[in-house]
Amino acid sequence: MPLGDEKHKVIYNELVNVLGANYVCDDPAVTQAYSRDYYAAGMLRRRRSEFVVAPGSTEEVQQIVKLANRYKFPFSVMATGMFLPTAMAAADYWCIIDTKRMNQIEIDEKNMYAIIEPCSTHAQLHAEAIKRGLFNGVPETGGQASAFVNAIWGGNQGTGYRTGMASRNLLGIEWVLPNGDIVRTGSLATPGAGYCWGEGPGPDLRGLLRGVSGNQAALGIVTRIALKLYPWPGPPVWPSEGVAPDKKSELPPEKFKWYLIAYPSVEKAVDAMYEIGDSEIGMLLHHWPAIYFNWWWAKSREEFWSTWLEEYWHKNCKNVVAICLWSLASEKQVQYEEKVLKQIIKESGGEPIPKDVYDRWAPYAVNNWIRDTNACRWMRIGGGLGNTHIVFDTMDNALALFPAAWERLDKYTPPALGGIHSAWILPFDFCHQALGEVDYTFEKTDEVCQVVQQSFVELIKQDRQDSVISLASGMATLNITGRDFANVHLLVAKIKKALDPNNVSNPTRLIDMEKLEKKLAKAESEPK
Amino acid sequence: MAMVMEKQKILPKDDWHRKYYWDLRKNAWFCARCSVCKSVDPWEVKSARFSKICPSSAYYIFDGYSCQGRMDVTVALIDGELKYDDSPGLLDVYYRCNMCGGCDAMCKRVQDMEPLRVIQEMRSRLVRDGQLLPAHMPIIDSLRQEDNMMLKPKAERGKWAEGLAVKDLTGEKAEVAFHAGCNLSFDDELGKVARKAVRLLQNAGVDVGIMGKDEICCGGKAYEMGYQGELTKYAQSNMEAWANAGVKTVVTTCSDCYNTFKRLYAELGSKFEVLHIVEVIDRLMKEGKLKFTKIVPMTVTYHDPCHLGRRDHVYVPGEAIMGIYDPPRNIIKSIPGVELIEMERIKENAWCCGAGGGVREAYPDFNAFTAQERIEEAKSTGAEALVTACPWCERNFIDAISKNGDQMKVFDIVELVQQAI
Repeated sequence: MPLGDEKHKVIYNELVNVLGANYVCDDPAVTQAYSRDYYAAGMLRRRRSEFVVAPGSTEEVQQIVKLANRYKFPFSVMATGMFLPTAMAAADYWCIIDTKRMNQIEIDEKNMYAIIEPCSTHAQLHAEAIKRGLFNGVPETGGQASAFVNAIWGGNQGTGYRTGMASRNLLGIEWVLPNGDIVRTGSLATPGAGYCWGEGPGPDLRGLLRGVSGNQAALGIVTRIALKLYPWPGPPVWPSEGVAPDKKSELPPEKFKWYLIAYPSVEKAVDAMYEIGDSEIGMLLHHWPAIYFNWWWAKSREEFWSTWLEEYWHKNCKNVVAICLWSLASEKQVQYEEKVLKQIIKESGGEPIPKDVYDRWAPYAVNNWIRDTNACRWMRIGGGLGNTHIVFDTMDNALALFPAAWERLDKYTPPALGGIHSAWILPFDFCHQALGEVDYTFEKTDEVCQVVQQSFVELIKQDRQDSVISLASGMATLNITGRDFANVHLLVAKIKKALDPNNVSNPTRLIDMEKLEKKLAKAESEPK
Repeated sequence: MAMVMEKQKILPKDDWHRKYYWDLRKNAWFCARCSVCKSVDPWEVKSARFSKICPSSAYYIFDGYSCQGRMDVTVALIDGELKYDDSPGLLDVYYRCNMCGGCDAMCKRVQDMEPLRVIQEMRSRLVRDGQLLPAHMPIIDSLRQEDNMMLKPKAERGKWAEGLAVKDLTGEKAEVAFHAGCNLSFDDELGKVARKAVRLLQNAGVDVGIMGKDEICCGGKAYEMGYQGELTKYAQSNMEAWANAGVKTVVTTCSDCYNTFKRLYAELGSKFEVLHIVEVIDRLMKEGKLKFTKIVPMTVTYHDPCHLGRRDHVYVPGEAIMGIYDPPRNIIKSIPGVELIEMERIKENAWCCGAGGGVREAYPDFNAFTAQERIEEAKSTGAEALVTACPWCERNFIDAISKNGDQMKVFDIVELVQQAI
């Protein structure tokens, strides 16, 4: 890394001119903190960036981007930083833009939306929203993660059944393009209209953000967004009692009614979920595998493994459909929906899990799906989290792909830990769309990470072959996957070229322009 | 649909995942980069304004100054990916930390790890390897020469107790030793807290004595700066002095000293009972030996000192991160006329006062920021006074208030109690 060379010094001084010395750093002990994430790929490809900067406003982001174009240095951007494999340094003079200073939240109560900046966490937004009788969907990553980032890529939400994928809630957007121009979309494009609406004059640019894995800031940096909010029938302060990790959280039962219903098979569970979706009842709906009960309940990894060996949750929580009814309009709504739900349970052959099992789990874990989700707890079991199936399609498609995913899981078990076939189904939009996911934990060592990477590559191959839109295929560069999806890489390359003529915005991620251009030039020069 | 095949149970090869034990590299390596170390428990976030838990991350912004970054640097140093000479700012990464344990509580909550112990161990390594923070060196010199952390001559140590009729444990015996600590011994404004505490104990019939001018530092602050040897030396001297005076119980008003005596000395073999003054008062109240007779019309909020609160917890995976949370609250609620209004961040989620970990001595701007943040939170409750149970916290709050011209009053809990009897 050319830390001491002239170009480095020039870039450093220019960054300091823009941001001040407190917000620019090139010390290896500081940049080391941006060199990896929890993901297997992140562990294997550790690399320090050369600079890290902390802008405080859209204008400062714009100036950094203009400098990047002038001095031809690459940049990437991060918020809370849990998922960094597509933001870590990949070349010399790399600058990571850490948005921690950009964490403002403004709530428009009347029009039910929030304007947030990149480092506004979900828990912050949630706390501010519920004070005002409003609610935003909770990201799977947890309350400490960025609500903003969750919405500008294919973020899941615990309430996705009703609130959709997180990105469905995007309204106006402010965005610094890779060439340093600022674009404002939706109603922001109309002077004085504010952030209230997603669509606006001209084409809807949100499509450039909202892929399954987003555009990974390869098409610039989004600095402010407005998010749609929903009614919140609960208390203005999140209820909790106890001292961590021994804590309970219970919401008023007349306003929030949970049902955990066991089915003889995952297919039967999905049938019931379709019925529930058709009836448009409930706010949260999931199919949770038994391992989730274990993950969310255990207060320590020791407790996790001992209950795992006892098979307590496996025996008691097979093929569980979890639904929470909310009094969005009134308590009578819950009463009505409960009647509908009971009818569906009866007709679909479901059985509520035993009361003692429910009582052992629900007060400690169930409302996590409304406030925190706490998915980072996954990693404590062995250090790593892997997936052999993360597909965004329909519930039927999730079902159809589970057997192959379980086969892959079996093939990689060990080093995958556990040895049970998990199957999480999170429906969106009243079950018209769904995420299907097969998760596993593994021990985080370099050797095991290699194997996990190998399984991921295999998954990408399989998804390409099946034309499946998944997080795996979404994470691969479009150079690899584009031709499997209507040659989308050629379209994206044109957009990238137009917006990022110097190829400085997270180059090689989303699409590797240098490789693509070489390949296209070679094809051009070859005789037809 | 293929049949769901249950495979045999595959368990981790490394037993650490199933039966936790202390391991420096494993604790650092298994950091999930989830960022729970930067914010309070999401269930406890009540506003965006007061939702952070790590002062270092809040002030210095970059992840290198967060718990997560310190884990990365630790792994890099252990594995040789980073060397001391590579980084001019390496010491700042480890020392721009109040050692408040906020990150530690959050990480234990979710990931079952002890990052604060990693930071502590790395500080000790740095000192062992001669990587000394220049700003700490005069303090350590003062400690070695004058037996205190306040850069003051040891001859002045006993001034706080002048005229106080109390047993002198250098020549007399008593069941209870009251330890004033460096801060109260040399702070002319706060020394009254120690006097009041001794009187309170005497009035309750406790057989109490002090070491007076011969009292020495507990060694805890030096230990947190990375000077392990100092801790051992002062622990041996203190334990010997207490034993010679027939002491069974040590009582202090200083949370730092309390934690050092109770937790660190215990690791060195101490068998003395250690109580913070709030535990004694709470006990005396319950036994009916202390009654509040005067009304103190005041709304107050209570600041949990880190060493008395979450840092009192001895880690057992899965167990609640308990500290001395309830006794001070019991006391405040029992005083007639006093209304306790809680801040947003309390108990294991409390924001630090800023003074700990050698920060007050080395990074005054960071120290002031941390204190001011807590004062802003206290002000947001509408309380008239901020009550705490540690002289380091009290001093830091008083300094921040006087610098910023705030109107909030600051009391040690002993002062509040004194007003009610």
